[in-house]
Amino acid sequence: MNNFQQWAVAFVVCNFNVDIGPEIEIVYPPNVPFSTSDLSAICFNSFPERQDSETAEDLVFNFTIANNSPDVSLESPCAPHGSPTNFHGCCVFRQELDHSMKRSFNQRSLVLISTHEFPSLFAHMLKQMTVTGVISDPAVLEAVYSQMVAWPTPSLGKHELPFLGSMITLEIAPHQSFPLQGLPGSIPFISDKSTSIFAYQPLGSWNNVMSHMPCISDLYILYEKLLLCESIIVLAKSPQLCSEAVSVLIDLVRPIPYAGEIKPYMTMQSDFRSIGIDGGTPHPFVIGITNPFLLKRVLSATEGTERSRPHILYLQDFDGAVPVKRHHSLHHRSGSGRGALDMPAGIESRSPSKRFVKSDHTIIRQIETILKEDSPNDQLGPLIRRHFAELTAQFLAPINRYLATSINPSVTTPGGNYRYASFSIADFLHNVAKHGSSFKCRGQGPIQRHRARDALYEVFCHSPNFYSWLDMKLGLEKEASAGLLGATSSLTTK
Amino acid sequence: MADSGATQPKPSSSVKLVLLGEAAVGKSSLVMRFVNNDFQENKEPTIGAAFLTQKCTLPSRTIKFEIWDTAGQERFASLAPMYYRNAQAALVVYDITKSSSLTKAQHWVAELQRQASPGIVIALVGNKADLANPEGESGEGGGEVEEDVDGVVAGNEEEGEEGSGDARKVPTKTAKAYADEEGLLFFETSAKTGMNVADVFTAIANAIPETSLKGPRGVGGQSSLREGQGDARVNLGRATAEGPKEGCAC
Repeated sequence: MNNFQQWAVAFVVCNFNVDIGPEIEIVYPPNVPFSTSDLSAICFNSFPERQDSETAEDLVFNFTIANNSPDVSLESPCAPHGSPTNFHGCCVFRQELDHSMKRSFNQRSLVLISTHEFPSLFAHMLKQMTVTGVISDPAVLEAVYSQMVAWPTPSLGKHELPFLGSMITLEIAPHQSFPLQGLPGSIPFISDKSTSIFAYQPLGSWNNVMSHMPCISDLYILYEKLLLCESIIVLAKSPQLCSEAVSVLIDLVRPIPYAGEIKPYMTMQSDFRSIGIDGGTPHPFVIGITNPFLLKRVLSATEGTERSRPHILYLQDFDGAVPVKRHHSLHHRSGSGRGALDMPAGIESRSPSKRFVKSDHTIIRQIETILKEDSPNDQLGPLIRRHFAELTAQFLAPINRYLATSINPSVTTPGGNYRYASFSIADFLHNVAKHGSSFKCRGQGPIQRHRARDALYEVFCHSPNFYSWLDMKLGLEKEASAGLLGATSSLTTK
Repeated sequence: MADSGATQPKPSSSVKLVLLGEAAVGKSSLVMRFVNNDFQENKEPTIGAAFLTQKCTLPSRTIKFEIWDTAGQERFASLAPMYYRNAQAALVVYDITKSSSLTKAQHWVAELQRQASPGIVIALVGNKADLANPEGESGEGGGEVEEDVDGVVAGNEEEGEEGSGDARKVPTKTAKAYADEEGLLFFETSAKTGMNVADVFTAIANAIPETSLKGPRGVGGQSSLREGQGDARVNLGRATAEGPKEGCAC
């Protein structure tokens, strides 16, 4: 086990061979014992499904596949622990005109496979590795590999990582679901030579994703779905757009860890059992796809079951500005001649419903104003992320307050941790009614709003998200008190 | 909590330094001597580039060298621009017992002058000076002016029996004349004995214009350089071959 393996499993170069399909060109280091099925999955996930001769720029995207390579050693002695069950792939796809090729194109992808989900770090590295030269330069792979062997092992906190002639400052948060990772704080980060990356910051940005949204107020629909651990399918024209969208969506509800399956990019060849299709256990999911036929397949598989229909976020290129609201009567965006809001053939378009969460019109107006500005700007991402992080904090505040007051001081575990009393939803709702909540819910009058609020909390507390959040909270508190215990042990031990 | 950057008592700034040169001229050995005061025979060739840091304490400030020790092997040559991009200093190393290595060094110097940062400080370093016969040095190179590297048979490096025969193929005068013409710092060193190694780095530290120095990364910039440091430059002439580490806190 060398330190490279603590960060990543391997680099893979995939080449699209017209006669046989995607094939592996290089695996580096060469002795990684991937199973044949995993190599094939890596190949299929590393190429766009749609052929687009106009793809002139590199596509950078990520994907998650099940780890079916029992011989690949997984060892992460200290936090952050990589995934024991999944491989996270990040890749750069390049299409170059080459008339000597049958298809007139040379299509290759450079992929980094890891058990860690550090998409921004890996995307940055892959871009650096391919920016000047060819997509698969064995010397670059060798150089990067030998550099990463000398890196310190990943651990929580700050790392200075030398990489191809420059320094990367990487910050690994104690938990993947820390909110606002990568957003500049009030004090500007002084850094003129190094690139600062937060391990769990989203791969993409709302600055880009927002302009493909059907409307601005859909943000609140998506937010509610994510908050309650419901399913979302992102359909976009490119793997880059769909994986970026999945990444910024998951970020909206942090610090709540979305408890369903997250697949930034799935293709026809993907294994759908992981999201409960084709024989798997049903799970909520957020997936990114680029293939309309796949949308039909996933939707028909979820029909006739007790699962609610997944929400479909259809990201397109529109002519006009992003409208504030959906127009129920018109299925077209004003000014667009390209059938903007139409679903792909055969998919019934349904207006999505939002049940509980009240939209903030001040924020929607601000987003609208920023979108109307001609010059591309980067205010949108921070605005949207801060707003929803605040919303989530407001949503969680009553639960945190309730849990804190429920601590039974007479019960302490051997480690000195406090223990929460068992959680009763009825008791909690009673507590909310008494103390109130700043989280805004829909409703004509106060009674309706309180009903909506109670219903929202009730659904949330029955959702897997509640348990993933509680699990994170208890885990972090345990670690914090363990750290505290370690620091004061000399005073208390006899 | 994890370490969040120790604060330095003196103004401190980091300097990106790159080592370039033909394979097996001793780039990694120079760095190992400078950083660890150590020497190892028959080192493995470097893959890609190694990264090391070392502080160099001057009377008025501390320079933290971020050293990119690149691979000399030809297959890694295309990566070099990534390593010298934004570098404030470069050590271009040749082997005094191998004439072709000076030619290669001259190519690197030309490439740096063409493509690297305009203010880059370049030092030309002739390594393996321990293989030269001290007596032969003054006599040789007297007649030739410069550019006499062509035609000299290269390849029998490190074969000269130390002390007795003189393995030197590149006269000091030749390299010095070239360095003067191009405005490079020039040193002959021995990573094996430590001769002049620290001096090269100290000379570079002194030659970095203060205007190009930036505060340490990530540390809120509170240690920005004070104005009017008249004594910032130590006398270059003082730096003699007294051995490694002179002037550097290691």
